[in-house]
Amino acid sequence: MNLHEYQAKQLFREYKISVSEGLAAETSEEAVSIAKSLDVNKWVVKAQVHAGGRGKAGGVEVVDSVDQVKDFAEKWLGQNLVTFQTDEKGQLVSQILIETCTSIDKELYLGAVIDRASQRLVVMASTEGGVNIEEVAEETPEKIFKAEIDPIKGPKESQANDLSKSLGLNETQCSQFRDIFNGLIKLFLEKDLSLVEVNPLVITDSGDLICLDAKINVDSNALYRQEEIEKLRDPSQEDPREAKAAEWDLSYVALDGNIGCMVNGAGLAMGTMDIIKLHGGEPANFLDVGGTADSKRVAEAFKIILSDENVNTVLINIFGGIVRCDVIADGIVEALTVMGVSVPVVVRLEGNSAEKGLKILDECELNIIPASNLEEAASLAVKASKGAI
Amino acid sequence: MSILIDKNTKVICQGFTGGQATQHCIQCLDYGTQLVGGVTPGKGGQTHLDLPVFNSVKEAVDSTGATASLIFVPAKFCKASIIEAAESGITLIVCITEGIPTIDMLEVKARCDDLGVRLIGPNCPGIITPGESKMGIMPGDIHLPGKVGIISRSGTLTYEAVKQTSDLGFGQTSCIGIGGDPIPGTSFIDVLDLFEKR
Repeated sequence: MNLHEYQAKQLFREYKISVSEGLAAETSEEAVSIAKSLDVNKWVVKAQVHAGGRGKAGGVEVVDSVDQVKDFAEKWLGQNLVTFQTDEKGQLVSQILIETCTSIDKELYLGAVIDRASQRLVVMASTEGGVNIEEVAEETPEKIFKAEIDPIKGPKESQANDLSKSLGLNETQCSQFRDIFNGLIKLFLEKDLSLVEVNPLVITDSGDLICLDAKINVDSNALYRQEEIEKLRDPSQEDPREAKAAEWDLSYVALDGNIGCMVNGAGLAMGTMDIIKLHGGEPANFLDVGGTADSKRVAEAFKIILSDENVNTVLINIFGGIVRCDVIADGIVEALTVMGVSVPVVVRLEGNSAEKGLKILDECELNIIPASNLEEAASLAVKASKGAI
Repeated sequence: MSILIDKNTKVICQGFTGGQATQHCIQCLDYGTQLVGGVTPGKGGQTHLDLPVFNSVKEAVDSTGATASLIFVPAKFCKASIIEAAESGITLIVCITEGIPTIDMLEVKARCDDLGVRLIGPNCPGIITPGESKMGIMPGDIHLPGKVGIISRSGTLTYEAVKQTSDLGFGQTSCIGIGGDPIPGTSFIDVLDLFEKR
């Protein structure tokens, strides 16, 4: 789950990580009153969407009058912001963040992430802030400095100091950096984050360190113990079909083809898509019904798949381990009957209670094409999608 | 050659009396796994599937001599359960549960490494040595004793690979589902090492 910048910065404040002064507004009147209350004559106004690339898309401006704050708020609130990271519809702006403007001497980068290779929380810092850090990692990896945090003992005092030295900070900044470093790690571990990014972390004209941007991803598996964080979820930032799928614990990703796929297990779902391609077809989606699919979830999965009007064939591939194929078969029959599905549905059932499942499908009077293995299922689905069955 | 488990491996199950655990333990017993008991805190002294239930892993290990544990407890209790098993003399832990917070796994993995305990998973289908023993949720009947070792992050895609190698008559030595989580207890390279050394 992702957070908005203003939400991330609120968490930063709770952990004594220095950020610019500012607040988020949901109306232009509110924006004006926040701007006035900040008592400065230059502001940064930032449209709040989850996607990156806001600056280049016109979603971030530096303004020097309250009228301009109002104009910016009126321009963006209720509109969609399209950046290079969004689709062509963009993401809805429901808040804008109004902050005091910081005079920047130097831009740095600071991030923390779970590193799969070292199996540690890793804090990364770089002298190259304000730019795309992936490019820095690619072109000048020597400019990225890392600290691996021991999962049992926690951070060592020397780690913050070493990073400070690598960043070329002076003594005052070094002490400020230590607070940011320790705050960030505490925040990461206590709130079950999976990523924090501060790009840029800046040295101001007066020589102080401040986090100008804040990006936070939260580990969805930990939301059961992060009630406060879960309240920060903004469904307007998610693809509606993907959000609907998530409600039912289904993972769905929309694609461009015409063969709707329903598979149990992410690996097998990807394998199924590969084999569809191998046979000259195009999958319309990735959909994993998960390890504990029941008839209700199968029905919901059908609804989501068929809400894509490009779908002219459905391929169901279930290899039952935990999932019982007879339960899936009941779900398929129920969904097809209730929804009056007209497109051909190719079904391959294998594993746990597969024979019972196939018997259920065999006995129903619906447009179901059974397949006895993955190869055959893909080949039949591709033929059906081309109108050859 | 097979790795990690064989017909002599003594296995306990943590979360033994739960619904999923019960269903899969019955299938493991049917397959021939030497399941010798289970752990459900608060239910020690009872009998489940004709096997003794213990309050703690330590009691189970002391009483049965088990060296392996199959874990089905809910995600929020897994960190404690895995560490308990690792600290109680279990040397092979297979954790089926999905949805464990990554921050929990950072510590779990470090503790298992420190104690020299092999953790498979979490969020995995488990492991099987065909014809001998299975610790997991895979359908046993698609396996065939044979010569291909299978390692996979995926659950159902592993079954697909198993089914196809069985249908072609090759069979499998051992199949290891390492799970798809960011911090797995055991990696592809770890398992390749195990296959190499046998």
